[in-house]
Formats: sequence, structure tokens, C-alpha cells
Amino acid sequence: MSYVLLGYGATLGTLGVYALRVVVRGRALSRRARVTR
Amino acid sequence: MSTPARNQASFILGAAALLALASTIVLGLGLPPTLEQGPYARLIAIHPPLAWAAYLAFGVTAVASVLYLWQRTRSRVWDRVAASSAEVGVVFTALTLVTGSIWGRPTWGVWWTWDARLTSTALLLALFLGYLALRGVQTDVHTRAKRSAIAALVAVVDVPIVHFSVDWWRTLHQGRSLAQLTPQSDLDGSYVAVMLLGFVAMTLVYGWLLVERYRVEALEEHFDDQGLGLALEERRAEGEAVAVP
Amino acid sequence: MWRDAALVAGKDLRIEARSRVATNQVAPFAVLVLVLFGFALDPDRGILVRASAGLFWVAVLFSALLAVQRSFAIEAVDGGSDGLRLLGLDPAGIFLGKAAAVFVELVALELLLTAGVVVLYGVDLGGAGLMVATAAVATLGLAAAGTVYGALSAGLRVRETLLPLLLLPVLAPVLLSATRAWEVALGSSVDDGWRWVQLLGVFAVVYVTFGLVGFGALMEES
Repeated sequence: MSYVLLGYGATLGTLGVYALRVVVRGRALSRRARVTR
Repeated sequence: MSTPARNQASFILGAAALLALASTIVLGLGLPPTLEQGPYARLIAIHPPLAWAAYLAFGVTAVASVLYLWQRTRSRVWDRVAASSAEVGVVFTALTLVTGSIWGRPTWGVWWTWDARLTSTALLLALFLGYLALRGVQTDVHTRAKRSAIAALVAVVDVPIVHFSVDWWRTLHQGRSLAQLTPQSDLDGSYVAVMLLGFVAMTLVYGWLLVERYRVEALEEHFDDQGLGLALEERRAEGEAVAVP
Repeated sequence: MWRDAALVAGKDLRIEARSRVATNQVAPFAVLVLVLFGFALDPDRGILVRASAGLFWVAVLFSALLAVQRSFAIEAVDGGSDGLRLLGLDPAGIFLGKAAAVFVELVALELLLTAGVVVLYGVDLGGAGLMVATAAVATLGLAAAGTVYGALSAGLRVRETLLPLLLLPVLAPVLLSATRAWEVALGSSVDDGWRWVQLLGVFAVVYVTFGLVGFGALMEES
């Protein structure tokens, strides 16, 4: 069972971290776009 | 750059993806253990859907690359789609390998085996890591777009050749095919249902990631384009700010 | 197109013959790789002989990387690639010419490496027809794919590290197929060797076609 949890955890963790990175970068860039416009 | 309507669409897509993913995980973890594999068959709710999303992502990259290369549909939109989709696809491919490996350890007794499908997936990952590396090189936007599009197509063309060579290689050197042990052999109704839900969930997650990643790509290009002019303006603004008081 | 190809191939080979980079650096490197394999795998000849087909093709692959890099390095100085374009040469011809030059260099290297495998590893050659056919078709594929990727990474700042990352996964099926076919030819495995030659043929056709069609787009701007 621990392998199953490991698999689900790895998937959720990786997708979560990646999504967070993309969203944070997007927010930062669009804020910059608003400020400089 | 980002209109309210698009933000809203992305939000709805993201919420749907999150909901589908959450229910896949809850239902997937609640699946009954199977006779052959015990609890490990539960990984089937996410592993094949991850692989599907990876293939979908690289397919989108290939189509977008063709559309970019074709003069009549050439647009930087396609270049951005190809770039975003490839990056998301690499994440999905890596996860496919990782979840497969985690499933293989208790089921086959090894983390890695030179199974045909594993090997060709690993090569696919290497091909697109190379593609992303090529994209990462600083150069003129149009040169980069064109070269990347060609590189994506060359990589995609290589996939069936890789598949055949690896397939022949492994089926020759191996008495017992691992295909006999793959999860499909002991599926019952609840597994199929949860796996289908997993496909929907991963497709939605892919779509949402693609939209968000595309926005980052577009904004980055936007700033690259006016990078120099912007920097000059900022310096000027600083100079004025100091001069006024 | 054929005339342009012959011109470009002749030019590249003449440069190689005069600069002696291929003979003084690439060829010794290839032999050195064979010697290093000898150190790594106990010269208990059993292992070396059994693995010789694979070791041979790995050495060829590494040398092919050098040959491709070299092929585009000679264009990089003094605006050589702009010159080629300004001469009004057909891009498909340039591709064929460069690939042909790489092909000739690799064939020469393979002859040297074959001698090296026989002398250093004590391999008994056999199945000459299969060996030669495999080498010819595999080398054609190597040269074509290498030239496409050489052009893709030409003129970029990090091309030395980028080219292996791009090229080696693409060439993996060539390594796999050529090794299997040679194992059959050398008698260390029983299989239908010609099937692998066919797969190598498909690879070569695909990348030659790709080069002929796509090289124009690659040369346009760089």
C-alpha cells in the first residue's frame, strides 16, 4: 500500500509544484505588465 | 494580454481539473485490491491517464509545429503552443515513468526493466528534453521558433522507429513477455470506470496547465520584445523621479 | 542539385584532408574509445568479444558526434554558411553534400575501428555481406540525421553541449539495430539480421527525406 501512496503522492506533488510555479510566474508577469502599461 | 473572460475560462477549467483529479484519487485509493497485484493495481487510476496526457501533449506540439512551419498558418501563437505543450508533456512523461517504476517495484520486483514500452518512453523523454534545451537557447525569436518546430517534427518522426526497434529487441531477448503481467489482464468494472475518470481528469489538468503555461510564454515574449525599450524608459523614469524634488 | 552536392562534399572533404583534423584527432579518439572499453571490461576476452558489436557502434556514434560538429564548425568561421547561400546553391544539394562528406568520413572511421576490433578484441569477422550492408545503411542514417541536427544547433552559443543531447536519443534506434545486425553477422546471436537492416533503411530514408525538404528552412536564417 505504501507504494500506492508513493505513486499518488509523487503525481500530486509534482503536478502541484509545477502548476504553482507556472501560476506564480504568470501572476508576477501580468502584474509587471499592468504596472508598466 | 489577459482578458477577464480568458481568466474566467482558465479558472473554470482549473476548477474542473482539480475536481476531477480529486475524485480520481479518492476513488482510485478506494478500489478493492486485486488477486494478482493486491493493492498496487490502484495505480492504474493514474498511470495510463498520465501516459495518455503525455502523448496528447506531444501530439499537440507536433501539430502546432506543423502549423508554424506552414507559411499560410504561420503565427507565433503556434510556436508558443508548441513550447508550452512540450514542457507540460515532459512533466507528464516523467510522471508516467515514475509511477510505472513505483508500480514495477512491488509487482515485478525491480524499479526498472528494459521492457519495450519503458525504454521507448524513456527515449521519448530524452527527445523532448533535448527539444526544451534547444528552446532554452537565447537567439532570435524567429530562428528559435523555426528550428524548434523542425526539431519537434524530427523528434516525433523518430518515435515510431524507436518503438519498433525497441519492441523487436525486447521480444527477441525475453522468454516471457511482461505484457502478460500488465494491469489490463485483471480489470473489472470499477477499475475501468475509475481509469476512465482518470483519463478525463488528466486531460483537464493538461488543458489547464497548457493555458496557464501559454500565458507565461506570451508574457515572457512580450517583455523580451520590448525589453530594451522598457529598460530605457524605466531608467528615464528613475531619472525624472530624482530630478523632480 | 547533384552538382551542388558534389561541390559541397568535395569542399568539405578537401578541407578535412588538408586540415587533418579527422585523421589527427577524430580517428585517434575513436581508437582510444576502443582501448578504454578494453580497460573498463576486463580484457578477459570473453566479454569483449561478446560485446564487440555494441562497443564498435558506440565508438562510431561518439565519432559521428565529432564529425558532425566538425562539419558545421568549418562553416561557422568567416560567415561560411552565408557564403554558401549567396553562391545560390540548392539547399537540398548542400544537405546532400554535407551528409555525403560525413558519410565518407564515417566509413573511413568504421574501417579503422573494424581493424581495431579485430586486433584489440580478437574478434573473428564473419557474415561479410550483412556486416557491410548494415554499416552502409546505418552510416547513411547517421550522416543524414547528424547533418539535420548539426544545422539545427549550428550558430547557437551552447551547440557543443546541445548537439549530443539532441542527437543521441534520435540515434538510439540506429545503435540498437546496427548492433543487433552485427551480432548476427559476428555469430554472437541468432536472429534475422536483415530485418534490422530494413529498419535502418527506413531510418535512413526518413532522415534523408527530412533533410532534403527541411534544409532550406534551416539555412534561411541563422
